[in-house]
Amino acid sequence: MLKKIVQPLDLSESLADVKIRSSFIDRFGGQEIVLIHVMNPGLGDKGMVRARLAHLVDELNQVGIQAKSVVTQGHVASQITRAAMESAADVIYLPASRKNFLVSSFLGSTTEDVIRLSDIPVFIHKQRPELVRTEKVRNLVFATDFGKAASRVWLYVRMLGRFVSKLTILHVGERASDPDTEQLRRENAETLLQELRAKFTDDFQEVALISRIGSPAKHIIDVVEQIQADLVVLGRLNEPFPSKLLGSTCSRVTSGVSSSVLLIP
Amino acid sequence: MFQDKVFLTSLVIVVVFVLAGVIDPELLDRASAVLHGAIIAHFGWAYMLSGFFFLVFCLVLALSRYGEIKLGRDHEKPEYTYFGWFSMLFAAGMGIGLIFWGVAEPLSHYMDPPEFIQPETGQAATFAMRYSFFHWGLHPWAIYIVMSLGIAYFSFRRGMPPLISSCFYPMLGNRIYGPIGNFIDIMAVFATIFGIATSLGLGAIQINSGLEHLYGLPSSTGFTLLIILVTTLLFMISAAVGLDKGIQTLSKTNILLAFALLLFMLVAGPTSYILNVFTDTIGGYMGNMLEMSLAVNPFLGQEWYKNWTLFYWAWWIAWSPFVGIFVARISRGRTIREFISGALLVPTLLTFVWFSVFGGASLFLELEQGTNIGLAVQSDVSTGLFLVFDHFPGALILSNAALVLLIVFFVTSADSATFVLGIMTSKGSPNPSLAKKITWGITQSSVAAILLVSGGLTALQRMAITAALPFNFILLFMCYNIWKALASEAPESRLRR
Repeated sequence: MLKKIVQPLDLSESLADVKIRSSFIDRFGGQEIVLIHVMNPGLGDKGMVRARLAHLVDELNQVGIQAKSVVTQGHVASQITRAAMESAADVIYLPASRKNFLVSSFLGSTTEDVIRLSDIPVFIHKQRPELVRTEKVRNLVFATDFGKAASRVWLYVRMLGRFVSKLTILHVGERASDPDTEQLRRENAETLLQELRAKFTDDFQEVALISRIGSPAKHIIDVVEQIQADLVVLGRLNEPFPSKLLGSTCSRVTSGVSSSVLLIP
Repeated sequence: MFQDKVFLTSLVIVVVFVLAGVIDPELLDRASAVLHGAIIAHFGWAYMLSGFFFLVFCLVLALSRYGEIKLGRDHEKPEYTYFGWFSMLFAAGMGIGLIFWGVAEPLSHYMDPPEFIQPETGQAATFAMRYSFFHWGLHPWAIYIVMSLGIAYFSFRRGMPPLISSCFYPMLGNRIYGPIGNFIDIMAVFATIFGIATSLGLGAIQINSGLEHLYGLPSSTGFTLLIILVTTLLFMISAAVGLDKGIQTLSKTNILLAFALLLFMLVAGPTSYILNVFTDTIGGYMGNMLEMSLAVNPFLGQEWYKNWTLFYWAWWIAWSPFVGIFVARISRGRTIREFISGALLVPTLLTFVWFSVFGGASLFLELEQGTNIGLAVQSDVSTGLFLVFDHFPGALILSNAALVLLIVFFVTSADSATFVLGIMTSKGSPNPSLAKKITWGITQSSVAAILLVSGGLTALQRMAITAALPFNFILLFMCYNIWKALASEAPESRLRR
């Protein structure tokens, strides 16, 4: 499912970084990597960029990773998502940058723009504790609101079961407006969580369930940190304007957790 | 009865304040003045912004798709007729205050407007009428509506007790049954008992003024206390009879009497002048609504706004728990749209007519006839209405009718407050026990009487306004909870299937 992977590069990365990242993706069954570099219009030496990318592609091919490269120019996030669509990629892979909080708050980040613009899954790779060859993904959190966006994620979660041993299904609901309805909501959430457990039992060695009330982003971050999860999978929602104003759940989770995040549009 | 935390704590707080007022009235006066002054000076803008927000919130809610939702189960019908409903709305919300201020407020603004307006001029008269409309118009009712809508929705449609804390379930969950919920309900009792005790004290003083004016009876503290005693007996009887018979019958009687008085003054008074005042002020009110809604005038005349507009806004907010619970109780079965439009427009329109008739007539006497009512009102606001009547035929009958109106409004306000305090301190039981109603009835009259004697009535009024500050934020959060609950109606209805 995550066979063709688009990996943007700004060419400040070392060959070792690129190799490690590629091998990490390989762990989820990746077969082909498309390295993409977006140039600023009118700046930079296109020939040099092409040569550098060709070198990286050769090096990856030599270690058995099938790779190719694309050079384009324009708005970085738009070009990445466009190139990903055109090359029929399955996922965009973004290593998380550690940008200053103030800078990212005021100016935004390419990662946030890609999350917003992409119509294909986006994998944001954060390292816990650091990027190493032996990094293993053991603990996966699937956050669900039982809505449409979450159900689109099922296939990906099931696929990840081949690589990850433990799944935690997390539901963050909104409190109902009176105690009787709240009781019904809790019972309903419990039933739906049990149904999901049954759905994924064959794919994972262990499935845990957690149900909470309140702000989805806050509780997802909280649970991920509490159980030291390695990866969070979320369905991307088209949230209404007021929520977007405060930051979408996806972008808040992405910037708040220290685990990796897979966002499914 | 004494196992209820809210009941016991509220009673203790009330007793402590009354004792403070009796033992050291000066200390209570100083402390309340500092607190009140600081709140009005530093949070005036918050009251104005919130008041405007509540009005916009009500309008948006009435016009939204949520307007169709009933304050009760879908099949329920309104418990009271329109006449009964409007009568009780008006009696609880404005009633006695309107009789007190109907003449006195326009004349006070006319004699003593903000410093950028020349006193005792046509411009001052226009300003006086416009701001009288503004202070008693849509904004106070919007504040009451937010409170009562929340209580009515969560109790009648969601099956929760009719308490202010119930409206916070979407936000607080089961914590409403703990200290936070108790704090909200205790604050409500605190604001209600102090607010109503002040009104009773002032009402008794005005009744005394009327009796002195008409019959030469002594205007003394002892006589005012006697009035409080008699009216307490009357409202205790009404409270014992219950909401359906007691308050409703009194409210209907009162509204009919008020109408009769209004109609007589309109016909016997300067009819065209009054109608001109009404038309002109409505235009000025609507045309300047936005500006008035947010006017705190930081550059010039801010003192006036602090003394009047901000005081009123704090006062309405302090009264909102009492009026809110009462209005909620009588509005079961109405749709949100019907409730908001009815409670916002009908009492407001009636208030405008009242001010136009009595304020207009008094300004006519002052501006066209050269009487000196304005000066008399400046020295004693409680006499204004009776002084105006002296210039019209049948003055004795009119003054007597006004006196009866005052007494009955006094009784209905005290009766409604007793009923509401009973609900608040009985975990929201819609039919509180007679023992609790009697306890609160005696308490509120005693508070009014004791502080009237010790001179702590003004301090008490300031304390009620102090309670308005937390209530302002409680009301804002209530809007959030109401909206959240209404928005979740459709998804939750799927759960119930």
